[in-house]
Parts: sequence; structure tokens; C-alpha cells
Amino acid sequence: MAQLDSGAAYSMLDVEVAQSLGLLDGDGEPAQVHTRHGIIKGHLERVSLVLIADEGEPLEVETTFLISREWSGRTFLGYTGFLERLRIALDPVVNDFYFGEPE
Amino acid sequence: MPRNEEISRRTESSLQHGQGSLRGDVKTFPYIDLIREHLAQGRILDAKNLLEFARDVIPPDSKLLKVLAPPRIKKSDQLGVDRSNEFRWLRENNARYQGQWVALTDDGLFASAATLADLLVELRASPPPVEPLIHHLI
Repeated sequence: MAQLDSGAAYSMLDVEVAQSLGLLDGDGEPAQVHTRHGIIKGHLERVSLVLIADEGEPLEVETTFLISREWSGRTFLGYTGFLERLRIALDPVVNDFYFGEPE
Repeated sequence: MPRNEEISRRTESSLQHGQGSLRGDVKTFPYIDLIREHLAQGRILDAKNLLEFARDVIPPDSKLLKVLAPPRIKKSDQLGVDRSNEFRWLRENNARYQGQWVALTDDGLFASAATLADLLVELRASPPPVEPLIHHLI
């Protein structure tokens, strides 16, 4: 599972997930991001994931993640390059997340 | 002048001039270096804007085009299953298994380990009857 963060510039992977996917030592473009834990430095990699739907149609999304050994948090799905390109809605009363293709 | 201000000034200047008056210098201008500097400094929007401006002179095999490209979205045929019991287990056992990686099925906890690598070894050695929900309790 991952955490949605519309305030996050990049999407980021749990470091152990990145390691299991063989992304931790990749040669992607160096980048950094400011987080509540401080500045996190890493590299950018293209990752494919599936938003599995309880109802309706799942979506496969290929997007850019910041991969970093310095990241001690969980997997985040951020705004730039991910949430900004989906149609989304939240129902916080029941903790439901609705998503759909942009068109 | 501090390096960041110099880079921003050069970027802004290049965008304001457009392709007309700098056409002769477009191919030699260090756009890739500037884009990489923006990324390295956490200025994602500046990097994307400059990439879009200089797209015609960026080599087509550049990794920058890939990582700064918009996401590709398409329908998937991967079906989900009802995870109500797994989510209930997580709410009830979050504190007890804090820091652990857990593999959950409809019946509850199937396996747990301190690291994802160890959990995956366990799951490969003793596969659950259905695909588990794997979660890191942090």
C-alpha cells in the first residue's frame, strides 16, 4: 500500500521496495526534494504500477519516482507526474479514493 | 553571483528571448546541464519548463525526456480482491507489529519479517494459497 500526498513534489518508494525492484543502485538522473525529514537526494527512475480498484476499472500508470537510500518513510504517491494527471476524488468519511483516466 | 541565481538568470533569459533571437545559439546552449542542475536543486517545475522550451534540441535518447515525461496511463486487467479483513487486521494490529513487514490474507497474518527481503524469502519457501497483501507497518 502507498500513501497519497498531493503536497509531495515527487512520488517516492519505500527503500526496501526499491531494493527488491532493483532500482536502488540505478543510474537515473540525480535529483533532490525537500521533505519534512529534510533534503532527500536520490535519482529519478521510471516505474510502472497498477491502481487496483475495489470497484470499476484498474489503471496501469507508468511514472517517475525519486529513488533514494536516504528515504526512511513509506511509499508516497505525489502530485507532480502522478496525481496531477489523474481524475481523483476523496471521500474521507469512509476513506475511499476514486480515480480515473484524465479523459 | 551565487550559482543558483546565475542559473535562474540564464534560464529566465533563455525563455524570454525565445527561439527567434537566439536561434544561432540554441544548439550550443547548455540546456541539458541547466535542466540537470534544476533537478539536482529540487526545482522540478523549472526543469520541466526548460525541457519543454528546449525539447527540439534535446537528443531523443536523453534520459531526461523519459523521467520528465508525463505519466502514461492505461486501463489494466489486474483485478482486485476484497481486502476488508486485511485492512481490519492492520487497524487492530498496527502497534503490535510496528516496524515489521507483514503478509496478510483473508484469514489474517500469514507471515511477518523485519525486512521485505526476509518476508519474500519466507513467502517463496511457503507460498500462501492466495496472493497476500504485503504491507510495511511504519
